[in-house]
Parts: sequence; structure tokens; C-alpha cells
Amino acid sequence: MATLKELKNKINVINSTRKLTSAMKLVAGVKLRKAEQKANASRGYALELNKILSRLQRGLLKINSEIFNGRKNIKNELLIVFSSDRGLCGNFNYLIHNEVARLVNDFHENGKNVHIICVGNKAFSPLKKIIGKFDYIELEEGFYQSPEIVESSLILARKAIEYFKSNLIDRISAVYTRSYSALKREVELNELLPIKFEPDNDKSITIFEPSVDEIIDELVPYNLGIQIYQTALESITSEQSSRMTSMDNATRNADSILSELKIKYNRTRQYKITQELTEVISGANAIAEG
Amino acid sequence: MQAKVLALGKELFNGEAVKVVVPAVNGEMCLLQNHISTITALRQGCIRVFRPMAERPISIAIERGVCSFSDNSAIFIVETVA
Repeated sequence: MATLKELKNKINVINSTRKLTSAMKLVAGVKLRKAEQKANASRGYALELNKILSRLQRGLLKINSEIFNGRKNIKNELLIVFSSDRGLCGNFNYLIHNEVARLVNDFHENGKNVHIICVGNKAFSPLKKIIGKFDYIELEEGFYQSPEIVESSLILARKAIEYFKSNLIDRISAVYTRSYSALKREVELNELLPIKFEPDNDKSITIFEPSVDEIIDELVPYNLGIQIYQTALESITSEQSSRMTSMDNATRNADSILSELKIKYNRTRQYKITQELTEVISGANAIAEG
Repeated sequence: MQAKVLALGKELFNGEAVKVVVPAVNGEMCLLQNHISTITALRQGCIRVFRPMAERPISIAIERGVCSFSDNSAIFIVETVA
């Protein structure tokens, strides 16, 4: 049986762990709300930007037409994988890793090569082990550390467009976790390039200034950056929601362990008191009889 | 005409306008009612929105952006000065 001192120490340790998990749950809640607010605020902006691009896709040169219509023969896929920089967020990173492993397997079966850009370093090391001989993996360092994630997103978008234009890759997709509710999260694959656009029914004459291609050269990386930014916010929302749930579970577990330990502590204390009393009474009896 | 100026995360203007003057890459451009449809890249400068019955225009400083005008509706997607 554990001594009173040992039990007291255990209770103290569990108490401090409980404080920590409870604080982490609160912090995750604040970060979750911030990311949700940012995602909602940028949604209208992204939508209007996409509408303008849809109007622009008439009469394009070949390279820009590929940006909208895609390439016929897709040999090299680019996956932008959104994981987290920190752990303690349940199975968030594990789910991403599993889905990417499945996708890479599918691409290999179809004779395609994969180029992976990891956003968040938790997925980088495990994914390095699953890529093939002709695949390539890189880590987008410090993406989440930047004061404005939109800046990191625009840098990443410009890099991805350069890869596309130099024929290193033929398609760009994002793998991220979407949060449907506090308990339901799913890993999704979202195609970012070729750009998905609404059919343009406006047949009126439109003036493009300076020219369609110059505007597209400027707008396409920007639009991709905004899409990456929104995906990153979606991923942060899921990560924080996952962290909140797991920290809530950890706090509850700590509570139940604490209550068990307290009962054990009280029983041990009671046992010790009873034992001491018995010893005193039997001692007193022995003296009285003697 | 309707004008809407959007920056990332915030709506800078949304409402009725009689005239909007924008810093297009090839020089300043004035958008009035029934202007021909246009998509124009914007450079660093000021978008000035003239509202009906208002004495002074609203000035919005931008870093760059794009303007889309069709069916008497102008939308400006801009990056604001940090």
C-alpha cells in the first residue's frame, strides 16, 4: 500500500497537470475563435477575387490557359500538406499523415510523382519516410511563426506558381483538416490549381487594363495565396478545436484520477488513525490489567 | 452606381456612389454611371469615392489592387497600406 506521503505527491502532480491542461484548453479556445473570425472575414474577399478571375479567363495565352483549364497529361502532383507545429492535439497530425500516405500510394499506382510541401513541421519527419525515389519533400519553415499568415501564404503561392510555370509540377492541391463541429473533423483534398471558376455568362465588351495576361500574372499568385491563407485558417481552426477536445478529455481524466486518489488518501489516513487508536487502546488495556 | 471596396478581412466601403476615381496602372481613371465593363489593375495611391449628397469624397489609401466594373457595380479588391 502506498504511503500517505506518496499519495500526497501523486495528488500534487495530477493537480498541476490538471491546471496545465485546463489552461491549454482555454488558450486553444481563444485561438480557435480568432482563426474562425479571420476565416469568416476573408471569405467574401476570396469570393469576389474568384469572380474577377472568372471574368478574366476569356482569350488567354497558352500558359495562362493552363492555369484555368489544367494540363492534359498530369505527371507531377504538388501536395501542400497542412499539419501543426505543436503536438498535444489528439489525432490531428496522425489523420493528415494517414491521408497523405494513402494519396501518395494512389499517385504511385497511377505512375505519378509527388512533390510535397509541408506546412507545420509535425508531418514532415513521418512523411519523409513514405516518399518514393522520384518524389520530393520540403518543409515550409516558419509558416505559422510569421506575424501575418497571409504574408507566408503569398510567398508559398509565388513559389508554387514558379514550380508550375517551370513544368516541375502539373497540379497543385492542398491536404488539410476541415472542422465540421467540435467532434467531427475530416481530412480533405482541395484542388488549388488549375483554378476553379464560375462559367462567365457576361457577353458584354470588357476593357482590360493594362492587358488580360498582365492582370492574370499579377492576380493568379495572389488568388492562390489567398486560397492557401484560407486553407491555413481552416487547418488552424481544426487544430485548435482538436486541441480543445483533447485537453478537455485530459482535464476530465485528471479529475477522475484525482477523485480516486483522494478517496485512497482518505482511506489510508483513516486506516492509519484507526491503527494508532487500536495501539493506544490496547496499550492502555495492558497497563490497566497489569 | 454601387461601389464596394474590400481589403483582406474588412470591408472598407459598401454603398451608393456617383463617381469613383481610382489609381489605375496607366494613370488615374474615373468611373461614372454606365461606364463600359472593365477590369483594371490598380497601383499604389488613393481610391476616392464620391457619394451622393456628400461634400467630400471618401479617400482610401491602397498599396495595389484590382477593380472590376460591370452593370453599374464597381468592386475593388485591394491591399491596404500596412
